[in-house]
Amino acid sequence: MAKQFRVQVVSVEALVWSGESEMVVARTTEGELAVLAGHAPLLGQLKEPSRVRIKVNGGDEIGFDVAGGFLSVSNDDVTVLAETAHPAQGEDPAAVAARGTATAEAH
Amino acid sequence: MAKPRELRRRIKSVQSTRKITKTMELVATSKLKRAQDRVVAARPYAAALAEVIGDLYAPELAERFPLLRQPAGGARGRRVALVVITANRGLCGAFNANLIREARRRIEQLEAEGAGVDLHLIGKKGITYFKFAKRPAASQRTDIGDKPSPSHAAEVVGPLITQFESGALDAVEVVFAQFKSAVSTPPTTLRVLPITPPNATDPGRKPGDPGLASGVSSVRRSANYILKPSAEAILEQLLPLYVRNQLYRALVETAAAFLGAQRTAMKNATDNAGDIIELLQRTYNRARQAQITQELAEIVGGAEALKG
Repeated sequence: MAKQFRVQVVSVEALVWSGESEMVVARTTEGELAVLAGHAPLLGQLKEPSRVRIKVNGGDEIGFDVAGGFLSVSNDDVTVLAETAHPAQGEDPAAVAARGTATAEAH
Repeated sequence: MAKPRELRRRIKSVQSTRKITKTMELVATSKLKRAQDRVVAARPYAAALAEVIGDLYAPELAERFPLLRQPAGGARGRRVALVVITANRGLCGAFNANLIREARRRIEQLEAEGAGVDLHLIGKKGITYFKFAKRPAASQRTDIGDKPSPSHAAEVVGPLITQFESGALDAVEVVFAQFKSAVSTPPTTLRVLPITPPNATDPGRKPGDPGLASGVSSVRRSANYILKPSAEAILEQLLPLYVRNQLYRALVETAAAFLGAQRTAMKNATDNAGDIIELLQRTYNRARQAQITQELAEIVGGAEALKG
């Protein structure tokens, strides 16, 4: 099993999702990148609009549609900062919530 | 001594007042709960944003970003925009009065320093006061109620950011009620522009005392970041977000603080009404008893007289 690290997705109004993850895939203005545990500190501006995919334990993937977002990686903590963030289309918010530790709907 | 009938009327009146204040207290309490949740929910974002900016900030970057530029030289001839947030409604004790007092204090202070002040008023109570004081406002709005949204904040602060960038304004400050707890809501002045770089180690939560430029550690850390696309491009996006977020938090905190103050005020009113009712009831009982005693005495006296 891949090493896990903590991921937070926060929007202006709420903490949208937080939990453990194996890999985060996001598209910055300079191209798509994936973050694994132990990644070097990074700060990236996300492409607009963009979808951030978070791979959680067991190979499941959670997608978030993000607007006005930034990706910040430091000390094995990944934070997705966004003006708005929603679970991606087709994701069941309740199921998404179940896979995170703390969840609040953005709107 | 007051007539029993008069006393009954007053008891009724106080009782119905108590019913109203009690209801308002309950309404404020339930709204406060939600407003409090919003304050808490807004924290992770503010903290994360402050951390990122703190990490990125370096003194040499400040030169290049208008939003970070600290005012040079003295205060004379400066133009400062003061955003004063008050509630739309009253019945909340000294809440609005405290905010207005803080705003007046700040205006006097700025004007004593020789700066010009533009007033931007949010909330009916502030607008009413400054109209009464015959002080013209640069802008005013009352449509932000108990549930401020990030777009409200953007609408308010957007034009100010533009003016600041063009040099028409030298500073933007916000007077709002800090929400420490439901019972502690001190009015506070917060400078939002030029941006005081947040201290990376002390994220968010210090509106009254915006962290000073963070020390050497954060600057050193920023050198190790991989930046995509570049520090400049990212800061250019982040800084307005930060300003907007600060205003958003000021709005959310004031909304929650208002409900807290209202609940306290209504609780006090309800308690007072209870005390008054108790007092009136006692007076009424005594008056009634006195009347009965007197009637009895008259009957007994009359009967004695008849016996002769």
